[in-house]
Amino acid sequence: MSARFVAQRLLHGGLVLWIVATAVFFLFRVIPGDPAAMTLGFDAPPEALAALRAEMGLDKPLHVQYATWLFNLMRWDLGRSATSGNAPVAGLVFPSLWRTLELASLSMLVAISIAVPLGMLAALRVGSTVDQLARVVTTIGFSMPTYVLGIVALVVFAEMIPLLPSAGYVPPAEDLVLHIKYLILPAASVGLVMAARLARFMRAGMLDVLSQDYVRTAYAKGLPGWRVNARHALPNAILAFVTEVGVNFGLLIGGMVVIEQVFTWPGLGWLMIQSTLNRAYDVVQIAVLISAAAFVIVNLLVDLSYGVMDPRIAYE
Amino acid sequence: MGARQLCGVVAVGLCLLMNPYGLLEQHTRAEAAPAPLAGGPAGLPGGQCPKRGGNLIIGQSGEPTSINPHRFGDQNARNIIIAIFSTLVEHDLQTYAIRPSLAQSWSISRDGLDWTFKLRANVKFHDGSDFDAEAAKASLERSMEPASGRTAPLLTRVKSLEAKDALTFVIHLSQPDRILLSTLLDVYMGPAGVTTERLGEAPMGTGPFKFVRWDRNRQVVLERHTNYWRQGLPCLDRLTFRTIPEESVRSQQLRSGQIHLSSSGLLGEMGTLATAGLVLHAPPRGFNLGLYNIHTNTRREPWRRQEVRQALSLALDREAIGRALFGFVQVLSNPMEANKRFFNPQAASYNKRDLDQARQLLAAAGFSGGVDGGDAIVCGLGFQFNIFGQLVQSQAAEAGIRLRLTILDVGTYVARTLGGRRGEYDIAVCAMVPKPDEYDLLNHPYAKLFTQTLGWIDQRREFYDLLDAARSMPGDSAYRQAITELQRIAMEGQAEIIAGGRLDPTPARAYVKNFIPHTQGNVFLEAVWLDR
Repeated sequence: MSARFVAQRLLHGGLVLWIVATAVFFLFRVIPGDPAAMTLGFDAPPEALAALRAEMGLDKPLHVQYATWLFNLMRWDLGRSATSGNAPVAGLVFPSLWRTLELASLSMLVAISIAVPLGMLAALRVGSTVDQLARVVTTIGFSMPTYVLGIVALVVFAEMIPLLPSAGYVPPAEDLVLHIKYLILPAASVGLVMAARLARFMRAGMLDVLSQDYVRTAYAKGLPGWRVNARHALPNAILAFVTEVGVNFGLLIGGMVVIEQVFTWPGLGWLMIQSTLNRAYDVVQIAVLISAAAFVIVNLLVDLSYGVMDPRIAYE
Repeated sequence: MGARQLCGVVAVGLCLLMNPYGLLEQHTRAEAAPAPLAGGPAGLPGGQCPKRGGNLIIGQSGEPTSINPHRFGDQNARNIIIAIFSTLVEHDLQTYAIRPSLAQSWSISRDGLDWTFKLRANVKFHDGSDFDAEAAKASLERSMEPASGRTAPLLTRVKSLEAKDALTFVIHLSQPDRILLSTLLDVYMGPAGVTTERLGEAPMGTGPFKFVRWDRNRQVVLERHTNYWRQGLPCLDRLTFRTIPEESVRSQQLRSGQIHLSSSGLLGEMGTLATAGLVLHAPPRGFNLGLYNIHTNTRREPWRRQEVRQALSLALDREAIGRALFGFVQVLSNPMEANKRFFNPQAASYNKRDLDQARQLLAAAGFSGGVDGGDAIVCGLGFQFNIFGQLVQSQAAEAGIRLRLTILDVGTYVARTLGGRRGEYDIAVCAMVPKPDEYDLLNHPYAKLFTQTLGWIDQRREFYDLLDAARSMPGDSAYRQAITELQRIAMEGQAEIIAGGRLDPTPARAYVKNFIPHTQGNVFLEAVWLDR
């Protein structure tokens, strides 16, 4: 794997991030909304709004605001958010990103641990009752919106059978057990829906590989079924599956908006929603940028993992 | 409407059918009026907390934009700020009379220009330092900074401030100001020698609770101020303001006891809350929690015409609006009806719907075949506003006024009414929270808000001149006449259509005792205690 390939991908990633940053900056200036009015309230008089806008630098021409922001961004000076209690933007975004990564990772773990065996089983017993059942289950999961499953899970496991706390967040340093308890329902809700999608992918990949000549040859050599599947079929089927996992994980980082809202999980999606409603431009810009960066990095890692999983793949 | 909201609507409907003034009303009656103690917190026997300690967890509808006492824009922020900071004067929560707080007494010079406040002795800030006249002066100065939007425009008559001695503070005015005390209700007292920005980052006041930490996007934690100037208060050890935007989740957490009180009403969840044995705290009798209003853009046709505005007001079926919102609406069209003391019964009333007269008015304005009323924007503050907006649209249509309804998120609504795109609407449907005094009930709907789009200021200059003059009137007789006349003009003009008073109750667990809702939606917690 060449360093040139990595450098090239990083350069492309940088370009993508600059485009995203620019688009988000101007998009938020186009949508109606006034951070000063959100800070001072409905009944703030025009003079007070003008004074606060000037303090926030919103009275300057748009290109000056953009250049200042970009310049500060390149110096890694993310500033403070006047519409979020004057908090440092980095202090808002990075803890939220960490919490989203935590939730997304656990969700993905749930999804993979269900999808791989279920997809394999369905492919190995194609056309059987097990396969039919798996298809029904995955279709239901596939068509179930995550937030519906989330709310149902809340009502059932937090209210009717109160096994778990409903929604919220406790830092692990404060109470690790409670922290994990709060994670279970949102991670399970996202993980189950994701599992349905990935299981179908796994099944299709396995079916494709199982019809290949080398699998038939392995059987002809008299290898036991489990060995053929584990050593010959699975490693080849998993390549496309890993790509799908990578893409979905990247999407999860920026796409946890609804589930974080339902479970009051203060991650990146929650932060983006709250900041958008409060017109905290400075926070949303960085949050979207970080989310895009995470997507770029995850994709790069997935690409790099191909070379490790399949020695035939080499990047020039 | 979500399934849970639908269940809530059905359940409330059943309750009301079985007993029109049944379950919900009983709760509100039972909890509405604890007996007040003169000059002290209401509802505590002998002024003492029956039980001490505990952590009250309050569910809030959003993350506060700030906890800066001089710069905040939302009720979630205000609820926290009023626990940390005290003011010179305060409302009696039963009568809404203004009474001493950090100012023990005050006197006014004969010409009404000098207000001398005697400050309470031995009042401590959270760091143990003394509250004195210098601190009061610095707090007023911060409140007069241009960006202190809530107070600066109302303090323009202040000529100078003087710390006469440690406990004597004087406000010198350029002209008399009847609403000075009312304005001081919003001037939060912080220490001298700190900037407004610093106070927002590390809030420190003399209030019953002191700031501990703000876990961003999660909660704000406060703890008891052990040197609080009201002996024996607060009853609670700790307050936790938790951000839970989803109404259904806030309701579920209230039912399961994970939170003890929801600072904003959960109207869409009332059915499930009422049947779960929670207490719904209503405002004291005779008061409401603000007004449902329809603001007309009088710079645009057809709303430039008084007849069209009157027609819309007559087209509204305020009783039906009340029924649709589970009865938590007071039927009124004159904001002063919420405060009968200055109410002018001679002013035109629109409480009774009259579609024939509405159509006649439209015809008189040249719209006998009906009229296109243009864009009606609705503030997306919750379930009840969507219903309110839809009712306005359908009831207006029955009179021949056609409206295109758009429900906007709060940011966009504010931008189109007050912000960079102000004036981009024909009518704006929302609610407002004036102070419960006769001046603000008129000033808030007709003058303070929307003056940049309210072309009515050109049409009815005399309203604004009289409103300004009334503020300087020394005697009660002339002042009463002015307020009476202002109501007459406002009710005739209908630039701001009042559709009803909000009575949304505050839901809480039954063991939360002595909670008294405030007419502006403020959550005062110094005398609240937990019975468990």
